[in-house]
Amino acid sequence: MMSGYMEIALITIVGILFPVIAFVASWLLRPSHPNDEKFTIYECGEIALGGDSRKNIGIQFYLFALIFVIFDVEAIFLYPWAVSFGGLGAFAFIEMMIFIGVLVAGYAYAWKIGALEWVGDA
Amino acid sequence: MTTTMYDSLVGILSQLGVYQILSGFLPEIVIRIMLVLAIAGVVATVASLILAYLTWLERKVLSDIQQRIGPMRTGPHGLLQPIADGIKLLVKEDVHPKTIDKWVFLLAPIVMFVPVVVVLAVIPFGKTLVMTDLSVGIVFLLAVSSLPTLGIIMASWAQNNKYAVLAGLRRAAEIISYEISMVLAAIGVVLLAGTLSLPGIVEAQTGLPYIILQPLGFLIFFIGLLADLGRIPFDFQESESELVAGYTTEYSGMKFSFFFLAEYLELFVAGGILTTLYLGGWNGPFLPSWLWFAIKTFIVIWVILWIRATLPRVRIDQLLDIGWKWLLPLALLNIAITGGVLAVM
Amino acid sequence: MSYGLLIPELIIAASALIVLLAVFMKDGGKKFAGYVSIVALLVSLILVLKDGLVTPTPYFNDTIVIDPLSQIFNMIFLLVSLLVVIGGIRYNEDKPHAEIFYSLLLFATLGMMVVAISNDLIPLFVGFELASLATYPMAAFERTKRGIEASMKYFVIGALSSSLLLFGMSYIYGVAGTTNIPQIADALSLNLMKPASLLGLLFIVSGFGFKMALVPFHMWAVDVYDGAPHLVTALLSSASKKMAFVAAFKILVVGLIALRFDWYIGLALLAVLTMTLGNVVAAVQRSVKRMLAYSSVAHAGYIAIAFVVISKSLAEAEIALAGGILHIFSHALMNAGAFIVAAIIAAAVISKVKPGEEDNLDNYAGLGKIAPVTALMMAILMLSLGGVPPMFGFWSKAVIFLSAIKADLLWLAIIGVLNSALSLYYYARVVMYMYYRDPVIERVNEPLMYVLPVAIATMGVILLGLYPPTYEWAFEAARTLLMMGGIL
Repeated sequence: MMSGYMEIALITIVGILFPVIAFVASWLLRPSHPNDEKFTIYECGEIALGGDSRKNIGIQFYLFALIFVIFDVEAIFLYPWAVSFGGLGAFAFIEMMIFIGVLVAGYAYAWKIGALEWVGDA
Repeated sequence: MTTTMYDSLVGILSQLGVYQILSGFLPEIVIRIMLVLAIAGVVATVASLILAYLTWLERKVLSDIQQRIGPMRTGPHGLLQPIADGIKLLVKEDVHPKTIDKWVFLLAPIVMFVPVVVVLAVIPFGKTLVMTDLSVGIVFLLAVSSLPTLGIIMASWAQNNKYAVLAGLRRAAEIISYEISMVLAAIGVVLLAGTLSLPGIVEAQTGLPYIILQPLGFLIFFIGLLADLGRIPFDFQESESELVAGYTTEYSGMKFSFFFLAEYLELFVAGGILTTLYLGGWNGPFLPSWLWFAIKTFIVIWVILWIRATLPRVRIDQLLDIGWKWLLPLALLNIAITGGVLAVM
Repeated sequence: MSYGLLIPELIIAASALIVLLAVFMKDGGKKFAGYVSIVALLVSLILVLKDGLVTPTPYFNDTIVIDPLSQIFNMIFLLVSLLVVIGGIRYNEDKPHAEIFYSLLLFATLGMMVVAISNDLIPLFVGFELASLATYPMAAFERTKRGIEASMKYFVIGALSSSLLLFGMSYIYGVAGTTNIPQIADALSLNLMKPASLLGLLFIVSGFGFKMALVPFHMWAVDVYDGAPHLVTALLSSASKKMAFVAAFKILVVGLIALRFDWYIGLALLAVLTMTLGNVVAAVQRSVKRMLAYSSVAHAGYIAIAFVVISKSLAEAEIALAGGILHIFSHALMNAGAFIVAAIIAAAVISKVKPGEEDNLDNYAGLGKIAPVTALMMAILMLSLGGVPPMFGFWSKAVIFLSAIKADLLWLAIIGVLNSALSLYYYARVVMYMYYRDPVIERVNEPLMYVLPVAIATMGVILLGLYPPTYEWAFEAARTLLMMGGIL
């Protein structure tokens, strides 16, 4: 069943070659006049404030990411079900609705307690 | 089994007698690799040409809507403009701050560009114009087409620039909010087609494109696609009025241009995906199949450009609300309705 | 195919979701969630009791089997959860987000029940993880510094033990080629001495060792039991820990693993170390909660004697297993009751003492005068924990020691009895404080919802030891287990 993946591998190589060739060509052609001003971080033409920009991230991102993981896993479970749905009939539909229902209950709870608010106290 | 580009090419070469000569002194696998490599090169090159003219098209469409004339100086109607842009970017000096994460900075444009090219391999451009027919085509398509975001996040983190970091974080929040709805909406298509193979899905739409059977799914998928592309009204990765140039703030020259290229290639690919899943792909009367595909794809692209000219950008909290509180329940509802109707029938 | 025997699990799963959605009710659904949980647990408990001595019934391609063993453990888990939920009604009166407490508790119960009924490594691990994941946040339910510390420790150690367990399981699967536990027994008997199976066993034993809190894997348990809220500690030490025992019974006994090795010296060392260390350290504690935590470690040592006897002598395996199951049952009751008593005292004195001092033994002084009902029940529970006849704790311990004597492990039984005598010192000290010291605190409230579960536990401790069907059930469960392993 692994047929058809050779094409993927080869177009990946082609895809990598494109930027690599372009970078090398540009490296050969482009001028280089280094200057201290050019090496500073761009911040509205001023000297950058506060040093490192890689700071701690708000907790909201993690809440959204957690819910995302749950639903993404759900989606992956849904695909095999969907593709063989024709041969499974009504019982499979009810089973999957129960599965989705369980997740929807969790989703409704997350919504209610404010996990889906960008600015909230959850 | 679907006829792929490789099969067609072998057919043509056999008729010309070239294939027989080649197989005289080369093992079959080597010929296969060579031919597929050639096909991949041609597909990527043609796609690059198309995306170069997409930049021109975007300028022209926007200027038309805004009652301007757009680029006119380079060539007739500015037709040489993309080439001029390309040369300019090629010889630009590479300026970046000292505090960047060097390797991530360099890799980010490549990480963003390569998956978009890879997606080209599974899109059926015409009846026999598909590079490969994967049995898990649609899952592969959705998985790979969300990878470019990784490049954006890498770029924003590597630059150590506050605007870029903000853009990257917003982009991450955006993609996780819309990815799910998109993936769930596509389940409606899979339910109807009963296959994950993309040529199979197009085949199943002969006579009746799924936009008619899945209007809700189409709408969700289309909105998700706009977010996936980072297009207005969801262009948080760039937000030029707030974040300077978003995740490309510290990039210049060729590295910048690959982000730019990847975005336009994504636009083309997005048109292709939407055409394949909902608009019946290459199906259509009279005209050759590849032309139907091209027409439908360009209609989609035109609509996306039209939206850019019309709508303002939403706020980040509005963006998340739309994704989580509207699209996600609607996508689940779409699955329930589609599955329910199919189960009853 | 009838799914009738799975109804208790389904009820718990459904009620866990319903409880979560109680948050949509106008008043936050606090009371509603609590009572729904009680009803669900009660109904499931009755259903399990009704089919206690069921003939083994496989479900889902033999991945799940309902038999007397799974039923007796389901009964223990449901009973402990019921006690905790009843206490939780009072406990959650002033807590926000009570529905999380009930929902997590029900999910934890469900996970434990899945472990008890699974006949395959995959559902076993899934249940194990469900129970663990649901209890990690419960340990930090009060969001105090100590609670969060306890939760973090529990999480890190829990993740470690789960990964060890999974790693060991993957080796066993690699050797046996199946995840079905009885089939593993067949396959392993052929491939026993392969390094991979030994390594797999080692990892599985250490994975369970962490959850059972056997010395030397015990260090996390006391801190977690001490830092978590009392009710959660009751659940952790009385139910979650017992889950590891049933899982170990299934894998080590049914997989014939304990029997194939001449490991009894090693296991005996583990058991002796566990009970001795638990008792000695418990004897010097001033905090009742810490004392109970260490005593819970010691009791795990008594239960581990069952493993020793099984690996020493097959003939006594039945009585040893029955003793282990009985002591798991009695300890679950006594411990849950005692921790809820500690919750009553802590709730009563919390405004009068420094933070962290609410479990001090001094607070128990004169309890016989100011809270007579609680004091009486606590005394009975303490004596039962110490193994004083005619309480349930005495009988169950007696069965274990008897099996050790019958298996020519007289020295082990003597060490066990000596340990019991030592433990009686610190259990009796609590009783002494309650009745022979003058009270330091004024009047203690005895809220009904706290007293009720303690009363149930106390009644169980007094009556169940004198009630023959308990023993019949335990022996039947032991026989089922041995039958699954093909020994009987």
